[in-house]
Amino acid sequence: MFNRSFSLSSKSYLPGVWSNFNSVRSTSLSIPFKPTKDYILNKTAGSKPPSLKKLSNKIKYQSPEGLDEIFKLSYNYLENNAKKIYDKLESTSDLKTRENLLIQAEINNPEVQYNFQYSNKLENNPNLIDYEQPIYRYLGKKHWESYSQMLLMQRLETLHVIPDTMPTLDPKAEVNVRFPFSTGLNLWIEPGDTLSSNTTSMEPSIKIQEYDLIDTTKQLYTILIVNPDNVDIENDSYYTSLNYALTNIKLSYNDNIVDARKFTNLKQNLLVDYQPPVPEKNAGQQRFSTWVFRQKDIMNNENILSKYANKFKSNFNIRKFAEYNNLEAIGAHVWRSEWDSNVANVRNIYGMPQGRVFTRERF
Amino acid sequence: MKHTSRLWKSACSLVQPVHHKVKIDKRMLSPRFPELKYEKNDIRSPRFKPVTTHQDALHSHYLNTLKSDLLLINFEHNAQSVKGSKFTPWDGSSPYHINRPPKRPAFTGSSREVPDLHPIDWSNIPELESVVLNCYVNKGQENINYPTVAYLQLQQITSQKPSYIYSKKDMPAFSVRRGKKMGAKIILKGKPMYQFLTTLNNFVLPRIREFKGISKSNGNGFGSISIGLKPSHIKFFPEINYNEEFWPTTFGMHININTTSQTDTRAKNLLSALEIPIQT
Amino acid sequence: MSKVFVRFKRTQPATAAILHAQKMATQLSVITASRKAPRLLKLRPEDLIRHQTVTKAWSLFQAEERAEQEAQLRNQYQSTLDAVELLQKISPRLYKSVTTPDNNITVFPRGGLRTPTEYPPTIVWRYQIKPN
Repeated sequence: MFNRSFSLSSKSYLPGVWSNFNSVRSTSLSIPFKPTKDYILNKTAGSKPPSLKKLSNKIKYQSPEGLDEIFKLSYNYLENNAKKIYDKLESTSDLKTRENLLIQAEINNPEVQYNFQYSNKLENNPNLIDYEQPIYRYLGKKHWESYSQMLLMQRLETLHVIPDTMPTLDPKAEVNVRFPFSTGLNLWIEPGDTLSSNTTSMEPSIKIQEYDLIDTTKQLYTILIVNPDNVDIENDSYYTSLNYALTNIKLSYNDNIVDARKFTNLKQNLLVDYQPPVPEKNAGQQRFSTWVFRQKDIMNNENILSKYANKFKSNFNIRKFAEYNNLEAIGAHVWRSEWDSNVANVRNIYGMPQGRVFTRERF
Repeated sequence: MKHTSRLWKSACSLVQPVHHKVKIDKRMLSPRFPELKYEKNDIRSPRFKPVTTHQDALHSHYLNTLKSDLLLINFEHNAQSVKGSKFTPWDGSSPYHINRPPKRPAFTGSSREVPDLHPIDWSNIPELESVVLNCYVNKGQENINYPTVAYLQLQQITSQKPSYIYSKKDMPAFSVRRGKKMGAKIILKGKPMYQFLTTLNNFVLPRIREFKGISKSNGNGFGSISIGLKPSHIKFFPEINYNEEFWPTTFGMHININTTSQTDTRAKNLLSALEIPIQT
Repeated sequence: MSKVFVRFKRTQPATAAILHAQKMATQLSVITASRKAPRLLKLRPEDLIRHQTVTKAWSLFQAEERAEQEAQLRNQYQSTLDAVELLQKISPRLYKSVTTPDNNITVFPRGGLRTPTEYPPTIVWRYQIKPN
């Protein structure tokens, strides 16, 4: 009754759905390096994996016994399953369902899995990991959730960035920050890192990776960098300042690094110019949190500036700003800065007044 | 004093509030032991254990043949679920009912609720759940090595990893103290369970002269059947029988066969289908 | 009187107690986990992907099989129900005899429904075989 054996007809003269690269199918769903592709898909007896370079290692390495035959069976089985899903796809028009079906059809493809597991996910090469493809977005999201997202949320919580700036965050996009200039680190910084004032003296470039299904041609983003730890001696408190504000940013799934050097329309994109972190001596560490929002519609920067320009420096309320402009927070990042010997230099470059030095008051 | 620290504890929670809904698995964030972050069934994990190494004749026989037969045998027309007795709250007619613990389940008088008895349909056909081998060594307090031997015996028979059992309370009459190692037990599930039952049924039970089949009254009322084996019967297991001279002492054990059938009759019906003799 | 020193002479006699302890040590060494843990397989990325593909296919295949079996059992239940309801309409007498609850344990015929094994074989006698 259920004694169906695990065998399928192995007549695969025609290329299956996974190996038929016509104009529709993206080449990123295949392994570009031919020896690896050949080894995985049609391994011949005695051949050694191309990732092994040294001859001695090649001689030592034994691939598991019996894997070759069973792999072919499995591959055909999974490819047949994928074909059924692609057939179903033709009769569906709902975008969400289509996306889910496309994920299901490709998730077991060994080529896709190889490309994703063994290449750089953050600085992705679209020939290997093409985030335009639903399957890579899905795998990318899972990968993000397995580590970076948890790390970010833990840092935001322990550093009290939430609720000190925005009340909460439901993360939807991966945000990464780095300082690419000659003064900077040129490394993607981990959330919560303490950076020197030299590193942060020029504006950062911010990578925003979307994993959800969105209309990239229309969606606009706002990026704010705020510092909630400015010393307010008069009220014996702290106030928030807006250190960098970009609006009406357009992104695509693969080209999504926001860099000031790339802007063509400064008026439309740049709301507030970059104010580097210049913490004052003995004022402790300051948190510089980057917030990324999805916009509902296009923002008029001139209008906003004429109304609120005076508030940006002295007392900025990010919650009200987000509410007035219909912004939906989708991602965040945070780094910390403290006073060091280079702060005075940075102040000079930007023409800022001299910093204060705080001392403990003795009674 | 042990409890003085209680006095210093504040009455409010000291746990910091969380402002987001992302669940954080700290194990994944730690840079230590990256290989332990793999799933247990991932071949890269040191905990990986190959499972599908061979066919399971008894289980596939159950799936292929017995399941549909059992569905037919247990079919009842117009059968309704029988509600088991549960904890019932008081009706509140008296002011003394406030804060009174609810009424205990009827008949049993115990603190356990009786589960509802459902008629058999395609989704709840009786099935073997687990087999528990319990080897309590009475002489454990005399010779500290006996529990280890019992452990080895279970390991030899089942080729799985047992665990030790410890006495739960003081029994001065038997000079047993609480927390003393008194034997070993093992819970078998899946393939090892079917393997054990096959061995038991084909090698051990036929060679026990006094065994005339599982008696009518056997069962705990909820579909669990138990068999007891004497020390002399253990030698019939082929793993022990093969080098008998290494086993000067063997220990008897209890075998509890737990099934998903909710009544004893259905459980015995299932066991008879698996060719275990049942007295009628 | 001169003392004779014998090299490699055992300082302690092998008493029963020591033998017993040795035996226990051997037995305990059987239990230790290090003896049982097989060596971790070191797979190259390519082979790991191939392995993952096979595992995935096997689990999908099993899931498909389970779903098929469940569907079949559901159909069986439904047709049994239909048959009994038809019987109730056609012949109430037969229906009554069928549905009267039996309190005795229904036991499968012993030896009648044997678990298939490799030995003894399902084919008892090969009639076609001829001596050379």
